[in-house]
Amino acid sequence: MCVEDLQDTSDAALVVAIGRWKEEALAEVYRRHAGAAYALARRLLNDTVLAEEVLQEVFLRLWNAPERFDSSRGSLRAYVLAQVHGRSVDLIRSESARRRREERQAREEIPAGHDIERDVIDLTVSEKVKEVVAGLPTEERKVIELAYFGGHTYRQVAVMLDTPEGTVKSRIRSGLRRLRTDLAEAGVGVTWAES
Amino acid sequence: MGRELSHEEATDLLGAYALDALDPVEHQAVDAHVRGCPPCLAEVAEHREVAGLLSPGWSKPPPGLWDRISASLEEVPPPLDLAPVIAMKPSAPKAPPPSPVSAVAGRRFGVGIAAMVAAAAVAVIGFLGVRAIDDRPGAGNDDRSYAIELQRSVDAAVAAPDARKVELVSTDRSRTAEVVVLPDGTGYVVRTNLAPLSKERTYQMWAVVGSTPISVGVLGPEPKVVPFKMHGNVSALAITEEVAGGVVSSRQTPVVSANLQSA
Repeated sequence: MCVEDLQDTSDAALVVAIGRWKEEALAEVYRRHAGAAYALARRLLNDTVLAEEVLQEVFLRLWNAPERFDSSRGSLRAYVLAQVHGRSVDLIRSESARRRREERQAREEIPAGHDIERDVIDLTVSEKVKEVVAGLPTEERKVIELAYFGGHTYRQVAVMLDTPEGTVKSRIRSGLRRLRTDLAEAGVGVTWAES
Repeated sequence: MGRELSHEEATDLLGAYALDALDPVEHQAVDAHVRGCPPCLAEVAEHREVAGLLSPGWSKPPPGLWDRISASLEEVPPPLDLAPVIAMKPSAPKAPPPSPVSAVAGRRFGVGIAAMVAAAAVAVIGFLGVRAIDDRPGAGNDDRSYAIELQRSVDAAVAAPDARKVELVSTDRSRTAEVVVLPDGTGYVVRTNLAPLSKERTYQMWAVVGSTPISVGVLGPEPKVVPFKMHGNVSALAITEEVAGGVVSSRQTPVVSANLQSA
């Protein structure tokens, strides 16, 4: 399998090749998805060194355990980003990183009620996605943003918004389902059939 | 939480679960449900697909990052092949072990511990008359079925002829943790005399593969019987004290450790 072949290879086939210890397949996955993964890690951690560490760990894990990715359950991009998000959130919640983050936030004097909608919209890459996100009910958009981009648990979000925990977890779920439906109606694919 | 969730309870939490917005205990409970529930598994996949679309675009990774990843691949060992150390009497039937703790499995931590662990002597122990009950904080009547299943798995593992038994010890040998590992990498912390920690702290277990320590499980503040899973050619095991929930990278000195290669 040469490099030219890999560029036309599906994500699922690349992961199969990784399972056969083909480093060039991992390199191709990196070429396709490392940019999005790095952007997410950097956004969450606001620390390039930690973001690099997370990426290194996630790609090393894909190399060591490619069988964890199941192409019938989702795209490789979503899988990689979920791995990056999980690792980043762990770091955010770790003691040292939390201290650093709090110090940074104190320096920047971020107001508690900053513009969440704008935050989310600025971060979304697709115009269609921006439109769909903007159309989400504010209360659902807020909880998703605080949980996903803030790395907060739903219990923490409940305290931050002075909202019952049950309401927050319901809004996260309903918001994600609404996003999925609206994105599909807008023609933004959220299916993951691999060739 | 700490108990098995009903389908309704689990589904209520699927959105937060997909966004990593649960605390470790809830995450573990939902994880256990999702693994055995295809509809929930599908819903989580959908949520994560949506979340992926919200991610903040694309940033060019630093130039040397791929080179570092590529260089680290050369250290990847072949699959785990733990040779048996003690042939135990094959009296107890093998039972399928419960799913291992995997809250932060596979995470790296800082260098330095590997060398320290390598200096520790491995201790092979007898495990005669092992008494092991699940007395983790929060484990009550609702956890009985889990505790029973876990205990059966531990008993089977201890009795398995191809199991490897290792004792992790502190440098002053006052603290120990007894571990049994099966050839497929499934392992159990069988018993420890580690000092109880506050709820804000936890013990975390690491397997050293090559020169890279990999987290194999967060053990809780008062670990007794805990399943774990490790992969690769593990040269050493170590347990550190960390902040509750565990860490990706640790700079802590191991509380106890064992070198598997010297056995």
